Amino acid sequence: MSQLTTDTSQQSKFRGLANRVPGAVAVIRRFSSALPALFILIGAAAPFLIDSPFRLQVLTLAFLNAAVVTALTISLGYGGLLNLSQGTYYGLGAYTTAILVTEHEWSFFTAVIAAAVFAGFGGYVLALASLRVRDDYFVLVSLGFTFAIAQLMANLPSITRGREGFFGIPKLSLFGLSFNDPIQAYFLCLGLFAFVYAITRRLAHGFLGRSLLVVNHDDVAARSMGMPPFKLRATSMVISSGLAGICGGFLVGTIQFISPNDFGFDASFTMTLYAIIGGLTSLAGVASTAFIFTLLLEEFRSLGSYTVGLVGLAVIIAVFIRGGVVADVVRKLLPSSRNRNRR
Amino acid sequence: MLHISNITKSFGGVHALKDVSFSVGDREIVGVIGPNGSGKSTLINVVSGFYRPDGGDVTLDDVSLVAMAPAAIRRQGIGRTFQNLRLVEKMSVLDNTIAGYYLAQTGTRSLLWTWLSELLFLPSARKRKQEAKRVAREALSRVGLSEKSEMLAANLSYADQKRLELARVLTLPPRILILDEPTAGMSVEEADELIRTIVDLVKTSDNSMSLLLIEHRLDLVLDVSDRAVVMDGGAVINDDVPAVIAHDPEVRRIYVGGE
Repeated sequence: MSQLTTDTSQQSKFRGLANRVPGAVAVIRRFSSALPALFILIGAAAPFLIDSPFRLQVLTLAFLNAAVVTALTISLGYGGLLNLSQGTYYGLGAYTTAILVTEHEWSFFTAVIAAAVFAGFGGYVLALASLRVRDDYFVLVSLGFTFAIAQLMANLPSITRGREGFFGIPKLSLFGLSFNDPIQAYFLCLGLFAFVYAITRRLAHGFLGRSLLVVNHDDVAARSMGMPPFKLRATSMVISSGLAGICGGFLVGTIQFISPNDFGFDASFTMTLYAIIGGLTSLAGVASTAFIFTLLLEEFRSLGSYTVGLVGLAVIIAVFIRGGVVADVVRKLLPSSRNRNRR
Repeated sequence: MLHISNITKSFGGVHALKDVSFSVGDREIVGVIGPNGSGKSTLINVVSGFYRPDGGDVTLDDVSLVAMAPAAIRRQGIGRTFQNLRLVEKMSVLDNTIAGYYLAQTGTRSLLWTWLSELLFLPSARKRKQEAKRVAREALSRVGLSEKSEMLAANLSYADQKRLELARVLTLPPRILILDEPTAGMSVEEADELIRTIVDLVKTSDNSMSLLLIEHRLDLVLDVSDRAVVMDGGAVINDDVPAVIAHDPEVRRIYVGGE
């Protein structure tokens, strides 16, 4: 049986597992829609199990990263706009928040909303490029956009305080939770992740997600059905970058220091790679990839700049498995009815 | 209703369409026939906005369509299918149809607002979702796919996939339905059945729908259409009722002599 093709041998391996524990798999399948919620619940228990504030902050950042990359699936996975700019929107949001709360004494809440609007506008500007160029060339434009904004952040000291980074951010809080308490900061970022995940999931299964899937699948057919492609793509880009802007605001609250280096090419590149490894339109796959990789890279900090290379290696492995490594495993374990909507 | 007047289109040195003119009236079924390379598909692409003609005009109810984008032309009421299948294979039959309805709506709505209303569980979003399902189910029942609405598009037979494309167009009822060789690659029985469904659709539609049918099977076209337009080498060589076309020696030369 396993000699037929590699694919069936892989499946039979999983089927063998399913035969051994039929009850367990049936239960997992039945409650597969509740899995992300379960994951978040487990996440909510983490602060009571982990003593080290450092480890807790790593988890906090992992959830933040997972949130940004989950938002990226809207433009990259559903909108089909292969872009290397998510880190830039993250940065635009972070700088907007930092400047507004520090120099203009806005409340964190209003500053984050402004950050979402500003980053969303940045997304729109990049989406304009998709009117003129496509595919590979669009990637180049977004790359240029990423470099340009990073240079602006580094070289406009009067606004961004330049290369040294943005110090002296006041203590921030939201809904009565303070970012200065590691546990409360953790819950804020966990909540943000849950928020972004829920929004993205709802989008994916609703009006926009379905429309975007068709556009992505077949541009010509979509146009023949009355869909203006730019409008749809631009909307996906604005939502995706706006959510990244919100995450940027939370980053400012969490680490109270930002510098242009955090939002350069490396940041955007790794985010896009996480989305690709995770399977582009598989939200659970993308979110867990970003989460796990952030933890791993933090664990192996001593490797320094090799880490980008490691992520690159993971991509090379991932492209040989259609739809992404993690998504593939998830799909095989949980061939639930919802998976049929994914590419 | 639909007037195609003096359309010319060339690609480099190749004159794909030379001064093509004809019109399609209310509830009329017009067949376009001609050998491969006679310009039939180019003509459809001009009418549906995918190509811009070098000269001439296309009007629907006196509104000129030539400067419009494909999406805008679709909303004006020109619905088309393609020669090859253009479905999302991994979505169910119903989801494909719903997507067709949604896509037809995207042109006229603020997408950000639509998304927000859905996100906030506003009643308008729920109503829209129900409406989409209702329209999609109705379109599926009109093409005879009600029973198969939960199947994946990929698992349908070829003939049923063609029907699904038809249902998708019907979610925004077109004034003019343009079908590009809908029966290509089908058995004679399947083709006859599909054509019967299509003709039925046009005859029983609530709004006045007309049909522009591109076909290479001469017998089918002459059988069902009210008028047939014969194209050869990018030009219209005859435009008349089927009885006349059937006895046109030029048409016989193209079809019989060519084979």
